Amino acid sequence: MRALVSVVVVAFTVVLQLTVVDRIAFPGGAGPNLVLLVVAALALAGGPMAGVLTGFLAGLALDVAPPGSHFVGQNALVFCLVGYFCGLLAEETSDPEQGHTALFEIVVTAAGAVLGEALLALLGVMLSDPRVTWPAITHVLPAAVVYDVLLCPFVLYAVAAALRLGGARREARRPGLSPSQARTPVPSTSQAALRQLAGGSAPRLRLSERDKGTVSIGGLRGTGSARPAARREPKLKLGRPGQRTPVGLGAAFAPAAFGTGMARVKFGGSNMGRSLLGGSVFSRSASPPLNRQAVFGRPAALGMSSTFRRRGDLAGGGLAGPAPRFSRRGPKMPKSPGRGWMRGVSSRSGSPRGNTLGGASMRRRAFGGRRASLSRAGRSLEGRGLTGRGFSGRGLSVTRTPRLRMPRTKTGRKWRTGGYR
Amino acid sequence: MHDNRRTRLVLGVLLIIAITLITLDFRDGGASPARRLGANIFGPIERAAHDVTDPVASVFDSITGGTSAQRTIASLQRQNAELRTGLSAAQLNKAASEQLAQLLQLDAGGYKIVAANVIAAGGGFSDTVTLDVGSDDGIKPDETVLNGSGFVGLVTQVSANTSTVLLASDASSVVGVELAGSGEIGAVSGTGKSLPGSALLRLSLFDANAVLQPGQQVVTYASVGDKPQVPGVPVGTIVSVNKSAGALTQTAMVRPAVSFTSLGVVGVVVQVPRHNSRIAILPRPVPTVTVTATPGPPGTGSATPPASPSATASASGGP
Repeated sequence: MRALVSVVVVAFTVVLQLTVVDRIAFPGGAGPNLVLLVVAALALAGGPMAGVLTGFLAGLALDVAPPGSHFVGQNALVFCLVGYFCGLLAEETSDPEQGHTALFEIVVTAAGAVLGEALLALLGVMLSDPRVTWPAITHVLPAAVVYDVLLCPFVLYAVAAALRLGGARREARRPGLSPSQARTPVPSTSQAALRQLAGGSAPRLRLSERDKGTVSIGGLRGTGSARPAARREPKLKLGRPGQRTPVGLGAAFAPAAFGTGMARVKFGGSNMGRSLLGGSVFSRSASPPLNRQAVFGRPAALGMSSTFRRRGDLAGGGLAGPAPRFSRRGPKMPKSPGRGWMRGVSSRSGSPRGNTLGGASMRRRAFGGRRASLSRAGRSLEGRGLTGRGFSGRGLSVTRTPRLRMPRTKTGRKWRTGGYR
Repeated sequence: MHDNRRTRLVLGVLLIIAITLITLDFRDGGASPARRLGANIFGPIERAAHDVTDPVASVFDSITGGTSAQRTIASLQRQNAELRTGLSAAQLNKAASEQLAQLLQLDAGGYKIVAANVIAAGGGFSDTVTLDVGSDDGIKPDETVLNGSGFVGLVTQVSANTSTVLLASDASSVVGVELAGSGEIGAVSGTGKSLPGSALLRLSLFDANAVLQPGQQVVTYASVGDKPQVPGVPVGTIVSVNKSAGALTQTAMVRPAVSFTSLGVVGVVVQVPRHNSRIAILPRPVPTVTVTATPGPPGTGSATPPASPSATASASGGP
């Protein structure tokens, strides 16, 4: 699915670049290369492999699209390398740091753009393109780089939004996953369509929640899921005693606030959302943030959280991830957990945006306060619980997705972090 | 690790493919089938996108280029009139334009021009645009593209529905020209992005002793079979002469007659009158043509020096 979204995004960008951007006479003699930026952003979200493939395809498309007058393959070669570079950078740094900050993503994208522009010029010189002379390079390169860097954040945001959109749709299609799906889209900031989906999904959520409450472990999946749930539940309990209260929508949030093991888990189940949104990036970033917040409970991370993460957190990740976040934000925002829940609930049911922003913050606070009270050990446990939540609480619906993606990396990360600290 | 290895493998394969493509294209001189395929795929998309994005682009034009809307309207009207009249030789000398047009039979529909919209542009170092007309409209490679102001460029590649134009401002573009007044011949090449600010063209005359002066008009020169360019289309005006002692050729900077950054509607010359010899088409000595139908008496010189060029031009154009 992500691949499909990426292809659509790339094709759209190529057409946009050729029909609009390149036709504009930018001051300075050169304009931005949106395709290059999109390739860098997709590589950031999808890793080296995705970066290489999207880079090659995007470059090839730009090469063969009509107005092109350079040699076919030039852009493919350069974009391929840029995609690999950005993907590699994102992947390598993500593990130790447990995710990227928005600043990091912007810097990487900008670096990829600079690298791409420079490589294009270099390749032109190597191929003795009469147009690529030193005076031309000195005029074109700086202007192009400046425009690229300026547009970096916007392109990143647009790409993340596109990925999220594609992910949400995909989830909505799948009935089984509906709950998590629905929620993810809702929190996600900007999409009316998603909101609708979310609204429609609300009932589903309730159902699933009920199931969880009653069947908690074996419910949907049966034995396999049950086990993980059991394991993790203890963790959850540590953080939150009242976790299991199964209530409709409110339950979902409330539990999260109070230690809602199950409900939260489902939301966290929005892991779906994460994966969808950021793809690899999200899964990476999303999981790390959780870990971070839970473990570290540091505020800095909050402000820095990447666009991808944010979305994941806010939207789907919100549930699972929110707890950790809360911890961070908790200190900042001194509101009662109850309010947070309420807002979150209301927002979800009503307006998506409010949910994302206010709701998330509220929730976080609630959790944060609690967590803050907890000892570090407790935090670490919680963190685990969060990651594990996907399995345990959700035992039923959410568990599946989280397991697949979350288990390895998250646990590993958590352990690492814990160990370091 | 495993993932890394696989990624590296894919990267290597794709890089090899890219290099192979470049090599093939290099060998084919930029006309590889991949490009044709791409044109067939992206051409229709760009055409469709043009309808949507044109307002956006024009808005930016108005921001960066000034009163673009009015200019566009004016240029369209002008172009309308001039396309009907024929080549824009009239600009060289309005007084003579009618007679010239008659003489050249431009007015009689000798030239067949296909109007086209610019729907996309190439970025980076290249100055190329895509037109929304293609082989289905009778467009063929190496045809002249012009608009109401003058010479725009040459068609380089053609697909069914789109065609790519190499603008005269592109650094790889070379156009044969002559001076409207003296008939000195030379070549105009684009400067691409190597000059800041408004793009100028570089004129180099073949005759090292010819006299160049700022303000002289430069028009396209005749070419065999009227390809790649038809004669007599205004290219620009000399703004400065580069005097370099000892140089074998004289060079000058030419301000192009058209604004390459705000191209909207252009015309592609798809047919040149058969019955009219290329010689007659040469509009160069615009002022001299006053005598009209009497080329026989070389006495045209009565008007001015340009008369002689007309004779020479006809002679040179013939072969």
